[in-house]
Amino acid sequence: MPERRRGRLGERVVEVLELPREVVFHAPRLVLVGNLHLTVENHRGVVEFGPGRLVVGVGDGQVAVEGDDLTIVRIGREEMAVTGRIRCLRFS
Amino acid sequence: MTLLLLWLAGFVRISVRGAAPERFVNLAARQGIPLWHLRDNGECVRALMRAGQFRLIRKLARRSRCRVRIEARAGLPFVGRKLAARPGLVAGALLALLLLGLVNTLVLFVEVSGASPAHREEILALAHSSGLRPGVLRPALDRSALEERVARALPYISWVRLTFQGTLARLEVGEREIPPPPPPLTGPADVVAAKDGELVYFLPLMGVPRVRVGERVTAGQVLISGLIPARQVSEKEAGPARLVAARGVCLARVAYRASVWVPCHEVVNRPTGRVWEQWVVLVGGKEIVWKGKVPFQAFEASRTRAVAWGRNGKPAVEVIRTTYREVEPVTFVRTPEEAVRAARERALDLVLAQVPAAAERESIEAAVEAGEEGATAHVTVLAIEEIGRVLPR
Repeated sequence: MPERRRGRLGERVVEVLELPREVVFHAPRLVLVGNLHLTVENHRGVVEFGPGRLVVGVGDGQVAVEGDDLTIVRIGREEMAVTGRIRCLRFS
Repeated sequence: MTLLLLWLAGFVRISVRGAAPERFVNLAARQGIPLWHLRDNGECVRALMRAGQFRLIRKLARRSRCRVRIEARAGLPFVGRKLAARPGLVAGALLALLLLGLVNTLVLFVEVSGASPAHREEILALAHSSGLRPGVLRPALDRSALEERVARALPYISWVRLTFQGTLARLEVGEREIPPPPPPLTGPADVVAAKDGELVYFLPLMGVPRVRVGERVTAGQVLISGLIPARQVSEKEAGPARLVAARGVCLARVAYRASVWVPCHEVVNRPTGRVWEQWVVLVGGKEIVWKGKVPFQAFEASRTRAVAWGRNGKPAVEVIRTTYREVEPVTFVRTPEEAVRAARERALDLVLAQVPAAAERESIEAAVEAGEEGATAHVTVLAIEEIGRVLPR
């Protein structure tokens, strides 16, 4: 079965069965609490890290977090938590 | 919580320097070596990690071409190592803790609250003699016994509660209001017998004696009259009669009696412990019964009632709760000797309950009629007591 058709079928199954996408497709899941705390699940590592900018690899793209005093509170194999004053989230 | 666990396991603060510290962080994360509190200060990335995993990151540091250094160590293993080098300090701290615990179980201060200043000293002295004094260990005190003793010994106290606050023992007391003694009768009065008895000591102080020592008197009989009759001044003329408030001491021997029959086969209702409740709500003349039929064959019932009054002064809602306690008949089988003993004890208890505390017990006589079916005990207690009561004329 071609890749495209298989992807479409998967989407359909997820929609019909109301399954969580981050579990089925291993898609990134980002939880932002106010502008102070961000949790990223299913990340693919830190691409860039500085006091005002953090770029995290997710899925087949990246998420850039911009803010002040950014701290990675915890980083594990699949999950990371970031605190600081978050000003901007950008997907690329 | 995570930081607490980290502290318990021991952790190190590391600094990561190099061209790409991110690569080191990713490698560590992929290897399952968690890092905490990563910060980039422009020169290096600082992070916390478990002390036990530091050896594992050397290879990762080489692969990522970073230099990793330990800046600080913290946590329980490091504190423990420091303390192990100072056994004197540990022993001193433990001793201090032990002393603190010991001092905390000591009573150093005793305070009385709720009592009038006039009674405080007396309560404190009684508490002191009952064992509650500075320096005593708190677990050695029998709190309820002490409370009961103080409450019983002092008639003006209705309740006592002993509480502890650190080294302070506080004796909270509630004083009962003792009604003032009735004012002495100033008007004319007689002294009459309150009970039947035989006078053993009679001392009229005011008034005319109507009885003598050794005489049997009955309740209500006038012992000392408040009417002093007219004195014959001359053969023709009599002086005026006077009315006085009679008083005197009238001690009599009073007999208290009780008879009790105790059968050898006695059926007694014993509670089984099963309880069933019935609720009845009365609203506007209607009766709502919840759980109607009592499931017990034999029971004892008690009833409580709660009423919400309406504006018109009549009950608006009335809730009646009836508690049924199941009982079962139990037959006690006694030997004739046991029946005699039980009858005597019960009769004595009944008699002694009638004797006033102020009376002086003179003798106790018991007569028992024993048979095959049971025993009857007749107990008589003779007590000497004051039977004179002043009654206004």
